[in-house]
Formats: sequence, C-alpha cells, structure tokens
Amino acid sequence: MRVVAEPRRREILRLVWDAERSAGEIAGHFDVTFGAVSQHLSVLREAGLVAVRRDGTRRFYRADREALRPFAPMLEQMWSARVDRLADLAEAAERAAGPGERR
Amino acid sequence: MNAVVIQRIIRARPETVFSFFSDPTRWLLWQGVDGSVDLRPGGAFRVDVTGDGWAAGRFVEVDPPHRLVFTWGWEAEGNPVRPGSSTVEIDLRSAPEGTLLRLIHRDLPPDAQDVHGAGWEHYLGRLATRARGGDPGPDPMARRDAASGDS
Repeated sequence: MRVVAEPRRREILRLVWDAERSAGEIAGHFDVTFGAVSQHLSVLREAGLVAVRRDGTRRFYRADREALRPFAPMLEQMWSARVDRLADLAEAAERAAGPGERR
Repeated sequence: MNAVVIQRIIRARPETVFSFFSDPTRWLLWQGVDGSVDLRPGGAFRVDVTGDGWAAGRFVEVDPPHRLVFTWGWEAEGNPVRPGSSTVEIDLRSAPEGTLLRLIHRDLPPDAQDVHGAGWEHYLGRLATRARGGDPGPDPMARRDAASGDS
C-alpha cells in the first residue's frame, strides 16, 4: 500500500499501465533526480508491481495488472481525480464567465 | 558489463571541458542547483541535482585535463545507489573536432542503469553547450521552485 501511495510511483504506474516503456523514457517524465527515478523503479519492481523485460542493455517496464488488481480502484480513482479537478475548474470558469443558459 | 557508457564529441579543448568539474561554481553551470566540490584525490563533492536530491561522492583520480574518476551515489534514504557504491570515469581525449568525452558509470544496480544513462546524456549535453560557450538555460529536470539554489 505504501508503495503505491507515493505520488511519483503512482505516476510511473500510470505511465506503464497501458504501455511498456523504457527506463529512460520514464525518467524523462519527471522533474526529480535520475537517482529518485531509479529508486522508485526498484521499489516497484521489488514489490512485484511492475514487470521488467530486458532487450540488450535496455530495460522496459510494464505494470503487472494482476499484482495491482487490489490497488486498481484506488489508482483509477486517484488518476481520475485529476480529470475531475480539471472538469471542476473548467465548469467554475464557465459559471464565472457569465450567467449562460442553465439546464 | 554492468556499466553505462556514453561517448560524446564536444567542440572545446579538453582543458575547457575539464574546467567545468573544477569547482562548484563551474559544476553548477551544467548540473545542479547547489553544491560543493573539492577537486583532489580523496576530496568530496555534493551536488543538489534538481533541488530535491543530493548526489555525493569522492574523487578517486584527478588527472587534468584527461581523466577524472569519482564515486557516485544519492543521499536519499533507501536509494539503491548509495554514496560510494558506484563509480564514474570520465576520459577526455583531443579530437579533430575538439574533445572526445567518454563517461563510464560502473556498478549501478540494474534498475538504475538506463535511468542514469538518460540522466548523464541530459547533463553531458548541457556540459557540451557550456564548454563551447553557450548557455543551456534552466534545467528542465530541475524543480521549478529550486531554480536559483536555496540554502
């Protein structure tokens, strides 16, 4: 649970949920040190939450959805909370813009 | 071989490239928002790379302007790359275009290798820009709120 709750690890899981990604690609998504990204990847792998495939010298990561099944509702809720927040902001901006017609 | 290897041509003399490791002011021009550098064998360095993570190590070989070897690790608790646990070798050779830089980062754990490779590619690019007199601008990997180096 603590493994999944850390915000950047949740982000990594979102990145590798639907697609396999190289470690370098994952690192490029974050404004944290490359040391921190390495740490998150090893925590996720040691917890068995991501699968790793080696291709030559490169390593590719993918969420192990089976292992993550117990956390999936929580993760999806957290990921979609962002979208909800965006929707709230957009709707608030719309309301502030003026009294348009309401349903 | 458990090592990250990166080669890169830099359009500047080895002396110029080497100078960007020589003191904290020069080092921070291409990597880090805060730090200290004591460039001599056995001397220590610490660099806050992005504003939320200190890398630290000790110089093992200091042979200007051709070779620099230092240990490397991250101070964050639980980081698999502990200070002293991995080693970075940098060789600088004169080349017709300027300098051929070769960086080898050894003894990284498997999950850390590609990520460190990507990290060094990024920072050596910034170093190359500095060495030929350019300004790489703010580091996109650094935290926005740590751009000017606190503490």
